[in-house]
Amino acid sequence: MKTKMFFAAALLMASVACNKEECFECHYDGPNGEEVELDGEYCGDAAEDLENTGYVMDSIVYTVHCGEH
Amino acid sequence: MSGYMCFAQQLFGVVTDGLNREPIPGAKIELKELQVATYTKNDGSFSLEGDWPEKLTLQVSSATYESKVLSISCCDLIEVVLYSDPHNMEEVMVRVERRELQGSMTQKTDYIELDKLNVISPMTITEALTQIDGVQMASYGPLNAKPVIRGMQGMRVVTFLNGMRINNQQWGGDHGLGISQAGMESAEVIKGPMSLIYTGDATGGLLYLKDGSFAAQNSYSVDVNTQFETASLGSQNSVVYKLSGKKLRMSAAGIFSSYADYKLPNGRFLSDSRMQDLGGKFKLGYNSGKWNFVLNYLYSNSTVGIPGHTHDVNPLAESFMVDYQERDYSLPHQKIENHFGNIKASYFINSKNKMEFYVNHGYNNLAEYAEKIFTPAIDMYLNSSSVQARHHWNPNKRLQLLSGIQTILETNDNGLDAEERLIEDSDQYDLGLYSSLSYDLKGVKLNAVLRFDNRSIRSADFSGDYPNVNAAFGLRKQWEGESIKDLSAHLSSGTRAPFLSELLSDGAHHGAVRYELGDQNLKSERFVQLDINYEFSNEHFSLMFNPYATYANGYIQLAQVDSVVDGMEVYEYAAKDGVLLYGLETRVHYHPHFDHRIHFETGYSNTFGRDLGIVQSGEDLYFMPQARLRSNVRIELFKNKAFGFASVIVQHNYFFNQDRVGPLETATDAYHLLQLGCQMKWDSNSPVQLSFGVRNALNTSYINHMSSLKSLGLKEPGRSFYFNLKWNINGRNQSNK
Repeated sequence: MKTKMFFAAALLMASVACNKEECFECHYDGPNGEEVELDGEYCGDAAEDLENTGYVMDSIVYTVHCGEH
Repeated sequence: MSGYMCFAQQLFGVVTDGLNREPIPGAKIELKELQVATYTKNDGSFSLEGDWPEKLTLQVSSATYESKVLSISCCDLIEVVLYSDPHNMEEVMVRVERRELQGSMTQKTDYIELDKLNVISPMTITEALTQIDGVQMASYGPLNAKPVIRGMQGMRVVTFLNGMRINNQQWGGDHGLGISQAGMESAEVIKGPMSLIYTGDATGGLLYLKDGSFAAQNSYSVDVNTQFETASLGSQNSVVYKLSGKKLRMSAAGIFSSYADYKLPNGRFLSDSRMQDLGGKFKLGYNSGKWNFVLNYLYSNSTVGIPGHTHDVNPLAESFMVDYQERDYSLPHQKIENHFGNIKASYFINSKNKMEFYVNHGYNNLAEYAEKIFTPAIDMYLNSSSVQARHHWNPNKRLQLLSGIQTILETNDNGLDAEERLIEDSDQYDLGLYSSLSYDLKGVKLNAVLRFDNRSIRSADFSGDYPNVNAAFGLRKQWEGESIKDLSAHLSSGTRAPFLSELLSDGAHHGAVRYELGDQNLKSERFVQLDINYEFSNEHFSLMFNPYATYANGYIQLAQVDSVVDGMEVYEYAAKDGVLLYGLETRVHYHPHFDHRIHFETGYSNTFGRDLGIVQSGEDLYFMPQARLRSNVRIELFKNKAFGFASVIVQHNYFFNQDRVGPLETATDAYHLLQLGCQMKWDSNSPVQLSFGVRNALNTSYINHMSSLKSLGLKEPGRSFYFNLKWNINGRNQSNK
């Protein structure tokens, strides 16, 4: 009984603990308000850092948005 | 006829049919307070082993028979007669004795067995609740909805799960119920402020949800449930494992749901109407002697798209429609995470006294991602801890006194990265004291409840204290003979302190598609409701007639003003005195004598809400649901065959036009909805149940008056076929420990 309960609890925990790294296409808001796509995909922490810090071009920081809108 | 004996620490007996004296196999025998159950064998016999308190409540139920609830004292011998009851097959039952809600045998309670609502398979608990007269749903898409009871919703409808009050940001128009129906056994609804032993601020009503019961004693079971529907290519899947020994019982469940954007009647898809949900449940029960413990834990993690999101001032409905169906989440969306845990301990002091203790904690995080995928626009954390103690005193069969105290500490915090704050960080402390007296005066059941509450709200810019006293009085008389007549009346009050969003809101609700403004000067709103219910039933016919009227002062209304901010219409919270809400719920059920397998059911419900103009000019209230006429024809087929069609149902809903609207609110046209359902059963040691059918069979293009998408002209889903498969595997434990 106790063993079965343990395995049932372990199965439940495993079923909700799955987490995988996701990748996104990103773009920034250009100087004229246009959307400029950034090459490639950004995954996990790299995508998060890019969205938080922005895209720097010619010493200007542009706001970045990742993911589909 | 049923008889049982308690021998030492063993209960055993037999259940038989009152008419033909045949044994009834498969009847459920449950010690209700302990959640210990077993089923009768083929010869109608049953036995339960344990270490029991002196006095217990035993419930005997079987599908086509009346349910019996018996008060037993170990080890009396009691005989009970079970008679066939065709009304017991109804999907919505009124005031059945098997309910969980405590406190009064006079108040009307609507009861739905969620795990058996399969003929027209609902997608959410809220959709299932709309089978109840007087209950509709407020939604932004079919998957994110919450109940509207007699026109009241949000903070006016209080939800309990396994005895724990659930707080999950239900104040927001774009926040759904947030609880999956998977593994859930029943839902009970009390309409209006009649539930004072639970709370004083359920001015709209109370919803009580109960998880599935444990497996029968010394048994195990596995329940597999999968459901698919075509409008959103959505599936909902759950596996529930249950294991019960003599004293220790457990169940664990895993839940996964995935829905893509739903298909509109015009063949296109509503962008961002998708949802994913992952969850789990765990439940543990233990009893020994005078103690019984039950631990419940629920986890859910949902990602919900926000349809109708725009920054345009005058958006066209077509701009939200797409020609392809997507499932992966995109912007904007909400992420909702819930952890709800509680422990209930019961102590049976003696045959006349019982104590119940609850310790609960709930965690809710609602994050809304609008422009960035990692930085939430809104990020709210709600922690709610509560404790409750309740004492039952039953000195004799005619008198019952129930008293209790409950406290809730709730904290609202905004995430540090959030770009917007809809409500400020705040703490809320509730204290409630109540006492309920029930007395049987020569067959007339009387009930009186008195309750005191105090709510304290503290935030950086606001503090307020809201002490309130509420009372309720009810009476009920039953006449039993060849037909049963039942008359009850309830006069009750409810008082709700304003919520932070009503006091301090100043922001856009993208899901509800409006900009909301609060008012710091709001006071508690006070409701007084008179509810009269009459029921008549005989072998072939039943009737329910339930008029009601509610008078409110300080009614907090969210009303549109003539202004637009960020492309959204502005709504303000404002108090109104002299508000009257009134309506009628009525239902008729007939099955002809020549064929008891055919059932005709018709129900009508409406709610009107109006500022009577005592203080200012009179006007209709905002957000009042359409009147509804619902008709079912249900045929039970091949009832005694091991395999075959179990039942077929045709359901027609007519929603009347709603033109009694607030000054700036748009009216809604009438519409018909036709639904067809079919259920097949394969009875064996591992029974299988298959349901299939079609929702919105005529592909009607319609707008629900209570939908947040109404202002954008966006329609509800078109025709959708569905199927649902349930498989139950069960057996006896080998060890039988």
